[in-house]
Amino acid sequence: MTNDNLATDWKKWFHDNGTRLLLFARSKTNNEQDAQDVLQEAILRLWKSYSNKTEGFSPPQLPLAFTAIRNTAIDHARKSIRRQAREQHSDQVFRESEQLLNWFESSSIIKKERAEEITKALKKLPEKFRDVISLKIWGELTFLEISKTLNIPANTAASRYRYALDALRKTLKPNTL
Amino acid sequence: MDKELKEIENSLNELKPSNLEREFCEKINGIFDLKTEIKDSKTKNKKIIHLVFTQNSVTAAAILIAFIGVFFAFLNDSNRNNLKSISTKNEGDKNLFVPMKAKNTFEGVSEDEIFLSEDKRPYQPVRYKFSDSFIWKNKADGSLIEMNIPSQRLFYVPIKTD
Repeated sequence: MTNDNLATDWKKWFHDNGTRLLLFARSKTNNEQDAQDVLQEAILRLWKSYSNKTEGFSPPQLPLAFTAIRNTAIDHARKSIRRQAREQHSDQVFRESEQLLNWFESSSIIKKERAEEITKALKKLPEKFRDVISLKIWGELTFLEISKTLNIPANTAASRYRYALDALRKTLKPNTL
Repeated sequence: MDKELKEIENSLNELKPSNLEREFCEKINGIFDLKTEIKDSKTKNKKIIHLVFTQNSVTAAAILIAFIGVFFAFLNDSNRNNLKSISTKNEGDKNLFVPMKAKNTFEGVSEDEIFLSEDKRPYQPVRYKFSDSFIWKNKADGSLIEMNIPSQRLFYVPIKTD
């Protein structure tokens, strides 16, 4: 495989999966800028680690990419804790504007409102539930793949998914039991 | 899974993650292009040259040089050990005991039995007894060594038979 083909393959891979990868990065970070930084760093790590190999230079499978994003987000969060102390005031203003950002496509006003509601509901979820929902629904991973990505048992992944759906139901349909 | 949870799941499935910003996409694609350019430049500019014969000779030469190096290092090390032993000896000289006193004392004389030599001449053995005493002193710490050595000198005195 030539280098041009490799780059083309990776670009196609990112074109097909970039949105779901960014969505997962969003669920792991506080704002859009951090999510993009995390995704960029994770892609760079994957590209570097794969380019050092003589074989198997094809784009990684999705579970591995999600794992890379998760690890990068953890590293990023450690740095952010220190940075937030310095930028607390300005960051607060930034975060307020970030809350309006929609995570999903919306072709009509009704869909836009619905997408915003779900975005808000997802942001309210505990991170461990949000991760499972994001990986299962938009990452299209199985519970086994989610368990490997998040380093948890498959049964735990399944139960977290159920709890997350239930929590979303309570937020999105508060009047129903 | 109950009906309501299924509905929530379906509504989530209907949503598609929002598209990436064009600028961000270009940034990510730039990662792949950049690394590819580096890889291409290595091969295109022939920075990596595969010469089998040259590689073998260079490897052999490197092994030979390494062997010679190890050999001289071994020689140097053994010489250094010799120097060390000599220097230790010189340093030991400082600690040698210096003779302070030597005395030879005459203790007596005794006569042994007369015997005949091979030429049939009688001899009288006369034994003179001495005692040699020595004292050595270590200048470094002032310690002394005293030693007494008994010694004898035997004289064969021919006896006149005429």
